[in-house]
Amino acid sequence: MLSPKKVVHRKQHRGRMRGNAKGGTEIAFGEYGLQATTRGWISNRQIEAARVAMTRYMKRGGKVWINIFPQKPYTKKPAETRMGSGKGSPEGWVAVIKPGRVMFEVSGVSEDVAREAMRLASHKLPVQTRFVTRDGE
Amino acid sequence: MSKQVALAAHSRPGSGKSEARRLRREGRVPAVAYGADMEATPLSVDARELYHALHTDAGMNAIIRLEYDDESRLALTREIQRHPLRREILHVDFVAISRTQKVTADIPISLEGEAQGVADGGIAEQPLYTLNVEVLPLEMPDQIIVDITDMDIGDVKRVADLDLPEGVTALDDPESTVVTVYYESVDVPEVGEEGVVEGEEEFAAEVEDEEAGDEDDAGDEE
Repeated sequence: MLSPKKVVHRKQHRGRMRGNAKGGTEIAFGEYGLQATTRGWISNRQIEAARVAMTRYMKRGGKVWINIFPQKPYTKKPAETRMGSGKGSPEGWVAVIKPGRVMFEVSGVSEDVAREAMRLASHKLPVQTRFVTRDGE
Repeated sequence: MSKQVALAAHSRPGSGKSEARRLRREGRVPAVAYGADMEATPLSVDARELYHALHTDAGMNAIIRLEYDDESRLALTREIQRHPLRREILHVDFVAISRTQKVTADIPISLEGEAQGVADGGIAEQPLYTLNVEVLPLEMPDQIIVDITDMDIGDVKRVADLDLPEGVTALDDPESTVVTVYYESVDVPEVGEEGVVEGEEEFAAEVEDEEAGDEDDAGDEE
């Protein structure tokens, strides 16, 4: 699963997710893409689940690009713990996704196969998505 | 070959986001025109007319005859800014061109046919979707078609191998790969008994280990 090799700070503030994606809004490598239309945190497990769903449907043939990386650590307090006593321990990694971000790209398969693979992948993600094509300007 | 498309433009007196937003509300797109022999001029164009001008066979490389303030100039579009979700054009740059001076442009590359290697189980990959070329504006091709029917597994077509129309010079590295057919053994996750995906078992075990570790941590903190 994707995670940073090393980080400067183990724990981060949660931050805000205002506005739309500033970059990564176009298809850069493949022919088809999966674009987020809402915002959210996508964990490295969800990214992996989406990748597995796509690869399994496309079987052999086709290439998948993952354009997002879970760079942000998220923390969680243990169950049944009283409030206070500092911030919880790091629990996992998430990518912060804003509307417009092209998260996955594929090439080397027909549009129908790409569309179905992306649909299966989208069910693994906590954001609304849409299928985009390179020439769909 | 690119055709000329007429596009009426108005010069734009104001600047800034409030003026730009007002224009967009009125169905116009803020634009700017510049070039070697002219000052940068703020303009606005009708959004619908611009859409049609950029959706001819020439696509984004359409040669636009920009008409504003009793002037008429040939121009190409550069740097089109779009809304990340709605895809509508927010701003467009026009670069003024001369019929006799060569310009650089990105011409789309499209593949024709199905490669022999793909029928044999290979994957055709196209790393280069546009080719940067230098050409006279009126000789600009709409697209560069690459026939891949004779490509077998392991074959590569590079920029140097492309048959370019006369007068078109490629500016990209001649050794850059345009299309390649390769064979890759992909580990496709199989669905085993009880619908458990192989590979996910390891993942589940990993998660359990992590959870066990977290419980220990929790104990420490309490």
